[in-house]
Amino acid sequence: MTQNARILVLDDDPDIGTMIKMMLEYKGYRVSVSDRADMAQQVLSKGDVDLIIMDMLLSGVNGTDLCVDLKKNPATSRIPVIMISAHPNAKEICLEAGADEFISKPFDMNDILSKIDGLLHKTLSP
Amino acid sequence: MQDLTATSVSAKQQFPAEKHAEQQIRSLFLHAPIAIQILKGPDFVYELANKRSLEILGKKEEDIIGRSVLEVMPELKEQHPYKALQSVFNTGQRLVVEEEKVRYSRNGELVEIFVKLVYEPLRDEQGKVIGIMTTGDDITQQVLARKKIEESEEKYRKLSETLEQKVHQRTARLVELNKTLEIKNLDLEDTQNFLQQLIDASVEFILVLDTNLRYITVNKKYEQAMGVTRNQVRQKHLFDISPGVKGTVQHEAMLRALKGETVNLDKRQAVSKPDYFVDSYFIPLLLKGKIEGVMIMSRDVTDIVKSEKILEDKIDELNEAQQIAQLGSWDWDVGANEVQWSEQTYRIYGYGKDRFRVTFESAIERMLPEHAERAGVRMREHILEAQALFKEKGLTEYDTAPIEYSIVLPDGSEKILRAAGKIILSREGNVSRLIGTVQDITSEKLSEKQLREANRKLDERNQFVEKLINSSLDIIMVVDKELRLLTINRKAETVIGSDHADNLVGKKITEVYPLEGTQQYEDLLQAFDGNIIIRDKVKSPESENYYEHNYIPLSNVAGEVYAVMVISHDITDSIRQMEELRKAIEADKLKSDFIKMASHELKTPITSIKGYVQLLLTALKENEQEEKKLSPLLLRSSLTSAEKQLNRLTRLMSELLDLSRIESGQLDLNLEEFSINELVIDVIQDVLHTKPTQQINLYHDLNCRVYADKDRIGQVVINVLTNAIKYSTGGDKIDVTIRRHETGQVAVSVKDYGIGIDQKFHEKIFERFYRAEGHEEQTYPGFGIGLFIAKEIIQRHGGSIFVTSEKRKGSTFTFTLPMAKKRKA
Repeated sequence: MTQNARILVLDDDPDIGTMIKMMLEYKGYRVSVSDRADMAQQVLSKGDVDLIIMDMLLSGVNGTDLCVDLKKNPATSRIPVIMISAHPNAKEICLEAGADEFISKPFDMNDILSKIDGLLHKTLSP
Repeated sequence: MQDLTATSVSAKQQFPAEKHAEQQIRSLFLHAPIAIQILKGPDFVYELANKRSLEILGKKEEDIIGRSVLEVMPELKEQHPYKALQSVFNTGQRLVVEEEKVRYSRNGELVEIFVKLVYEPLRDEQGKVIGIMTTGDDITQQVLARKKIEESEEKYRKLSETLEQKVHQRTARLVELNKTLEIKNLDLEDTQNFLQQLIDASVEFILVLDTNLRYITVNKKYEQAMGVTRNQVRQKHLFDISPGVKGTVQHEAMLRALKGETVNLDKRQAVSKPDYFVDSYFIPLLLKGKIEGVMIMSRDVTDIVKSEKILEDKIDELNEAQQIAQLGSWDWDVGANEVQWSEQTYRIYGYGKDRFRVTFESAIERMLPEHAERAGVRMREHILEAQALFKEKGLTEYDTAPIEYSIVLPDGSEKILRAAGKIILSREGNVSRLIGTVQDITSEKLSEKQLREANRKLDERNQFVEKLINSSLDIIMVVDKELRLLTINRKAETVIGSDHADNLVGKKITEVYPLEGTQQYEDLLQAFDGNIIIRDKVKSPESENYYEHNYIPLSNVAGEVYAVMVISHDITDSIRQMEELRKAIEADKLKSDFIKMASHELKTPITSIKGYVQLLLTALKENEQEEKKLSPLLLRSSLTSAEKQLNRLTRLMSELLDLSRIESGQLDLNLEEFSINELVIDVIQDVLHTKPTQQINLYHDLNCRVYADKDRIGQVVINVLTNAIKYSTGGDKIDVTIRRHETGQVAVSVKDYGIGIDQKFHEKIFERFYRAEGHEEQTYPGFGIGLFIAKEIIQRHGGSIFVTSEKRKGSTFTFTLPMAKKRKA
């Protein structure tokens, strides 16, 4: 069910983006990776995203600002957002910005997969 | 009067007061009611004759001045006065003639007068007689009156005797007739007629009254004066004619005379003629031993009284003048030991209206004992000196130097006086008189003392202020309106330095400091407008020091700014401390930011590696359990990525280690000689393995050898080269140059054609923890301490590293190293 879901990964470090992509694709998700927030908007505008994973720090625009914008926009407000960061105290900031889940770096693979599964299950269930 | 005139003739002008007194005296002299003449030389030429003397002589001044006595009055030649003149001139002896008879022609008429005359020889400085001063007055009337009285008394006496006989003879008949008075009157008629003639000849006013003060007779002079005739007044009561007499001293004198006493009243205001002053005699009329009436003879002395009044007024004026001048005068008659004090002198000595006999001793008693002793000594010295001068030069006057002394007043208070005087010697050289002035100088002395005291206090205060100013660590200068230094403290002297140090006071501040056109100069001028100006953090143009300058206007009592005090406080240390503190705070913040950043940087590769390892573990597990085939592609790409992240981690760790070594001073160098060319080529080849998009060109002078730590220099080359690649993604080439310089240095440059670095960051990029900020730069991860480490390494080798760059045109990083000294020729 959720295995065919489309996930957008945003991270300013391309190595992290690549790693997450490999991890999620191994699990069968369809994954797009970008290190720039403005690029994310392009992907989103096609309406082909089921979940977003993004770092708190992004090039071009702050991850939290992007999150706030997404949650404001009716077109994207229902897309679950998981924010990740290596910064201490980042969790509160991210949740406040409207993120559905927060994961701190370095993260556990099973942790991120279960959170994705949980969120997609909730969204896609009737 | 003689003494005064003598003084006046030879007086030298000494004190203003004395000059004033002399003018007074001269005025008195000219207007004196006695006759004064000065005759000069053996022929007695008139040099001076006062008003009164001209009156007596009946001459005008121009008729006699410059002529000899005999020229004026040849008739005098055989008379006593002329002989007296000759005698006095020859002997030099003063002569007083109480009653001198003189006959001379007055207004064409030969007259005979009586005069009282004093002949006073006048001497020159050598004591030789050069002339005579005569003083005296016409006493003819007194003499004549006296003579007449004497004569009349005699006649009266004789007549009385005859009269007595007649009276005696006729007593019986008179008794019979019982009209005693009438008979007496008739019988007395002849006598009365005679007497009448006698008294009519007198110039005195004469009236004869009976015991009831009824008129018996009056003389012509009286008739004229009173405007009556003797027939009108005869038998009338005195009070009918002169009612004002009743109860007066004259009335009393009449009553006394009627009791047998001869009474004399001098200088009385005439009762009926208040304008007149008279000397009066009240003489009892004796008939047969019985008082039958009173004869009153009065002489008109109005002129004399008026003259005296004028004299008194003059003396009052003199006193007043002395009072105004606060100058008293004194006159010590040594012979009589009597000191005359002027009104003002009494006042100075603290006496009001009281007057008493003052002697030299009593005057000196009022002084403080030590002053009295000193005054006595000085007086004796002056007298000896005066006498010595007399013997030597014949001087009869000696001016004493002023002396100051304190006296005790009757009320116990003290005063300081200044006295000066003149010693007057007699012809024999004896001290006859001392005259002088005395002045109250208490307040003068007191203010002198107060001034001295005030000055002393001011001095102390000034010394205190000076010490205070000198002990200050601030630079303190006081500058006047001409910008000249009035005061300058030690600190300022040291700062200004030895070149200028001598006699800075009085110099213009602009000679010492090149102030013109500076803010300090403006501030100084501003302060002269009355503004306090404080200027913080001013760098000294001559040193590295910073000052806070305070400009404080100094005003005088009138509120006028006469100077400006400049206080300069050296704030170099506090600025330095503040700066150090600021840097410490900044460094602390940078460090804390660095640690945050470093932990983030370290977490990224760890996250990545962890992710790959978990992915591989998951895949491996699924492969075992579900016999799902492990993809070799997954395995390879995961391990490759993990290795890349491990390398990244290693690099970061090594940077942190280097930073730690640099901070603790433990960055050790393993020095060896090697070719920088070979090292650079090796590094380029290593970098090319990472497949950069730019072409790397090398331009080099061959075989540049250095003596350095090869690994560390390699680290620097990698750093600048990877930076060039990283920051010139748009560029197509990177130029590496190795150049040998004549200075013995080799320079390695790496030039890229990338984004460039703003001029303002050219130095900052070599600082610890500095990382260029901005959107583009942030895309490159790392600690940002690479260039800092590179700089430390190069500087440890005695070289330098720097950048030249232009934004959007690229950057060139260059480092230099000293060339190794050639071992082989």
